[in-house]
Amino acid sequence: MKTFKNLLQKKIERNPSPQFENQFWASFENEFGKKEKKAPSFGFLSELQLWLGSGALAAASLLFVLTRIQPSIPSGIDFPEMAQQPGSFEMIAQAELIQDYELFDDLAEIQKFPDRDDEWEILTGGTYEET
Amino acid sequence: MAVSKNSAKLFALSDVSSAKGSPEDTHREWMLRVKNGDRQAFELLFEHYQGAVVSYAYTWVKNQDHAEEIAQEAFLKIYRVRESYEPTASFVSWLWTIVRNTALDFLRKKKEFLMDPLTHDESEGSSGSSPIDEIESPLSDAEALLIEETDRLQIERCMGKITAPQKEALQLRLVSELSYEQIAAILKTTVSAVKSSLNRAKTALMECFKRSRA
Repeated sequence: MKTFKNLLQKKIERNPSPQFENQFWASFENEFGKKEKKAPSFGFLSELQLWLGSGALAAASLLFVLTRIQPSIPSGIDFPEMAQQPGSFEMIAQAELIQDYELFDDLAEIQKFPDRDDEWEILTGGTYEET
Repeated sequence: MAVSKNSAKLFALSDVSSAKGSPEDTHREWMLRVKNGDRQAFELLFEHYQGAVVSYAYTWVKNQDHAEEIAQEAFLKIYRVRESYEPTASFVSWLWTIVRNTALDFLRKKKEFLMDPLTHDESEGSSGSSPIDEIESPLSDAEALLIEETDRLQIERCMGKITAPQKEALQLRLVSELSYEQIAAILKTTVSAVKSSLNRAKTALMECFKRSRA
């Protein structure tokens, strides 16, 4: 339908120039400051990093617990007695080193990245929550 | 009606007060968010109205650079006065009043007042033997051809010959696509006066186009 309104409208409309928008936002930011940057969102990469971080934390916690449970020196050896024996300090150091190796052996299985949710649950002592 | 970034068209809204869920409501909500400091909502309003505001400003100054300067200043003003916005009136009427005042300020400063003083002719609302919504009525083929063949410069020349209130009402209806109610609110007059102005403007323009073709 050709009406006076729509025919004349087409003739007198004007559009902004291509640079209008950029010029406006430059003036706007000049007066009101730049737009605040958005807080980083947890994209896929961040989520993966979060998981890896949680895994590392869980492994570190487990390591800490295990070292606290196992005696740091061989049982039955008394410190004053050892100190009196020649080379006793070297013995203690060796014992600790061996123990560390044993600990790594124990952790060898755990260091595999868990595949299933219930494995995470075991590692995190039941505190794992699915997000 | 969706409005593209570069379109000068707005939406016609026959009854703002009963327009629940309309674009007018959406834009009022955006403006309320702007009022509370939401820049993203302001970006939405800017995107939506920039074309229409530039077009409207152009009708005042007939110069693209000046029109964009006015539009830019009007949008900055909207953000500056955002806290004073009250959602009681039509958002479009509020916005257009700001754009109109910005254009008038610009013209005063530049001393390039192209229009006659905007005093309304008291007789505008009293006449009316012609159909009240004639501006929206279908044209005859001869009339349509006449407008199609009239170029932009001729149209601008003829627009310069109609009275200031008629010209302004016509521009608000044609360029900004405002409703009669919104135009009446901006021009602080009645709806019947707006309709009458539009009919008189149409008659005068058609006569001018015919003379130009003769």
